[in-house]
Amino acid sequence: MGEGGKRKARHEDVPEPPSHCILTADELGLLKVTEIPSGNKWEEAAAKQRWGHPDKQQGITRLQVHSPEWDPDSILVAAARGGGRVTLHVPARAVAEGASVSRAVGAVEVGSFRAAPPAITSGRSDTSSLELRGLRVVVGGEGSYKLRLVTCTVGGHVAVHGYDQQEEGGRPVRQGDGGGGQDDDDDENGATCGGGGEGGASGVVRTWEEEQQRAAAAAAGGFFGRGRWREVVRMQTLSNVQDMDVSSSGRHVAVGGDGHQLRVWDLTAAASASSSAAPEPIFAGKGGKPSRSGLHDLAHVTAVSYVPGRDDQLVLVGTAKHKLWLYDMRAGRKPQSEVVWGEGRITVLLPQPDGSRVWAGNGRGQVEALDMRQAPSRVSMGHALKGSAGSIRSLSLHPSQPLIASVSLDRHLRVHSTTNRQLLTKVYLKQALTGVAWLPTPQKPNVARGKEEIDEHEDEDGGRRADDRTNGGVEAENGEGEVAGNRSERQPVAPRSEEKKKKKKKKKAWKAESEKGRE
Amino acid sequence: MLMLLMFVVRSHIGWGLTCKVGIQAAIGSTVHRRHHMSAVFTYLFTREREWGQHSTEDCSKSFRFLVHRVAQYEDVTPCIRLTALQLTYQRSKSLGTKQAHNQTTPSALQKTKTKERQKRQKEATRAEELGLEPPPKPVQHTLENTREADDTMVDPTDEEVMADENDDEFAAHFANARPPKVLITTSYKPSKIMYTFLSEMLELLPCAEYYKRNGFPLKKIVKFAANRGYTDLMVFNEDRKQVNGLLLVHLPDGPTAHFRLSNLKLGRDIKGHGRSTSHKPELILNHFDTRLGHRLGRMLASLFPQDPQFRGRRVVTFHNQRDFIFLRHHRYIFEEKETRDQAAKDPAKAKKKAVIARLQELGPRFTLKLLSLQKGTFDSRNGEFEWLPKKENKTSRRRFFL
Repeated sequence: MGEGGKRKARHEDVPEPPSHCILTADELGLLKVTEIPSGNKWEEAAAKQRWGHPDKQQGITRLQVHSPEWDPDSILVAAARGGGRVTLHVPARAVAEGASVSRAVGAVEVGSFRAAPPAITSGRSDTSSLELRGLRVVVGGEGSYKLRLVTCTVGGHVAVHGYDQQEEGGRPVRQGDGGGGQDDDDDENGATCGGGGEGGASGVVRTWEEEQQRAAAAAAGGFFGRGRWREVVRMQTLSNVQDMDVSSSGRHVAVGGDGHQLRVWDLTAAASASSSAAPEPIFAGKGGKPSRSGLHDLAHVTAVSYVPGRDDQLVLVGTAKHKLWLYDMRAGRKPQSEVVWGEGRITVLLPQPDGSRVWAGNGRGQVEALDMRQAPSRVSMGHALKGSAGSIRSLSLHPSQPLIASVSLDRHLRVHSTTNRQLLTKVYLKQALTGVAWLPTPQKPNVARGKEEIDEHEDEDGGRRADDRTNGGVEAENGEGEVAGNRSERQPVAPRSEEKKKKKKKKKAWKAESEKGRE
Repeated sequence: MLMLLMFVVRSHIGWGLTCKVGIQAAIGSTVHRRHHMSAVFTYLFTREREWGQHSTEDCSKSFRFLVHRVAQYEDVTPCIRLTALQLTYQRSKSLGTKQAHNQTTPSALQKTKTKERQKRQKEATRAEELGLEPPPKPVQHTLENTREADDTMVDPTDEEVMADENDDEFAAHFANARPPKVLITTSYKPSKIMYTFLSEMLELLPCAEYYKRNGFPLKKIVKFAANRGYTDLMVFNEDRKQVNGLLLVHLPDGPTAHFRLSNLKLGRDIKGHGRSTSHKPELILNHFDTRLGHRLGRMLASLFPQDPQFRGRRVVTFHNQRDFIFLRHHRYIFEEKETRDQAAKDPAKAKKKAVIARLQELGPRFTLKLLSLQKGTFDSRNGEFEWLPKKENKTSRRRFFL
């Protein structure tokens, strides 16, 4: 915008922070950060950073971003990669001299662990069952670990890894027996003896480069760089799992797969149970009603999601036969309501945090929202987001604004507005994308500004300030002098008023310029 | 009859008062056939009044209507009918020329075009006289050069694309690690047309084998073919004696492409065709520019062996234009040909030898259009798609995806 260009003379070394940052993961194991320039310039969205090197063995299947206070300084990125590994990253901050603006220019890997069961056989084995199908971050809960990662492989191995903040030399804190929980990460980045860290808990080989890496990670990673991830619980569930979700309390894990209906297990029970007995599920769902011709669908669950706000009793399940089943674990084993939607398997289920809507994506590129306000009596689909030509692989809702990012096999990232279903931007990211998450944007520091600028901004934003204040949950991202940021948190508006605003800005720019000329 | 002839003569001159008089006279003279002829002529007479006010377009409409009406009068003698037709035709023609003559001023667009052309010619001759470079010729706008810009166009030096293709489903084929082995089959109950087509396809593809469908479901066929080491499965679909679809499945878990097959012409129906040999053909893939097109191009290339036999002079072309893929199968030959340069003064220099390539069409030719590209093997209902044509993506006539 005009103002930004003029103000360059004053703040040459302070670039405007982007209004949005989206992190995407793809099949080549690359993590890309797409930035939307400040002022919500959706048409100028572009991939600005690329973390990692292209390597299909390291392809990412699931992506989770954990940022508790939506603070750009404490972000943890967990990526589930090929072969059952989970790598954790923290965006690195490059501190610029002079102005105190720090922007993430890369990522540091702060840890990794193997989420698959230890290999029983030596030599080569079929590793397809080690692919991760579920990855969830659980915060809080009982136990000494405040931050836990729950993972589930295709073979049905559910593992919980807790984050131990203590230094490497400190006493490892263990939770229960955990069915033979290992007390070491059995593989580190780089050299280990034996291929791929096959279950050897004894004698971890650490090379000098690794020590350096650890030191770098500890220095740059901040909170997440210092500790280690320890396996807390492990459990064997079904075979051929397709999706997994963890309840909000972190106690239950719901799993579904090819050939299996929904099953829910209790993690705490598994932790305290003996390793020999296989834990029993606390809930085993049954299929829906038969079709008109009397045929039952074969059990093939492809997406599982807890509905938040219902005390962890409602679970929504998407099947390969384009059906959505809503289970109420208190009411019965059969689904309480069924919705037949679209053609093609349901690939993603993403609930809104208040539990009013659940967004569903399918293998044909359709995204629609399931209205849950009157569930389970009346559920309906609506609010389609159009444009994707390939299967939807992941959805992500912005925590505060009505924006949804979707990522599909047609190699594009799309951002839609959830209020008016408009496609805001479409970015080509070259690889088949598998995961997406919003990142908190780095804020502009509280630089003392001239009164002139504030006056200018106030004139422009006059009418819209009210909107910004009522916009819930914006406080976290707004600093005091965050006038530029305010403009970015504007609600998506209809095109005509956008033009009016553009005209207004032009006028202001012209006025300001003439003023400057006079000076 | 005489009156009629007079009538015809008059109409050449153009409608005028004389003709009107002529009509009346004609109506008056023929009494015994009055009810027929009068019907015709009164019709003409009434029409004539109207025609004076209408344009040639309406005139032709009236002409058509009149022809119909005249044809209805069965007992009107043929010569009268003919004359009536001639009259109407002449009338419309005369009207047309008259109108054209009246409208001596060309349309605004024609004016600007002629002006521009004259200007260009003037500039070109001027530049030639002065010895300067002639002004650039205006580039004609075609659908191809006004194509909507696609952000997925592949840059051959792109590191990420290369990394992706180094490890995709076709990498083994292009690394010569996995030679192609194609299994061809059909839809249920194929007809003779399908068999003749398949015999030609088996000649086109060097590493192809045919198996009867025998009512096996497709998912099972995919499994069987993968077990027996086939690299690709081609299923041709037939409907009402027309081959109209192709399903191409790369094995063991590669992508599945579904095409619509149209404009099929068998080799034996092509004039001057040849018979294919068993040499491995060369492959030409044209205009597979976007990421999707690149992937599809690799998929089609993985049907053919990587080591062509140039001595066989056989070439198979997949030419993509506007999302239609044209398959052609030729034999080529390079020949020396003498051309005479008539403009040259020197008789020795007049004869020029040039090497030209001649083509003989072999096997079948058809057009393919991609309907869907699915990740994984055939599972049309429950699978995940990489590309599907969506209405909202067809933003304009100039938007293509391959």
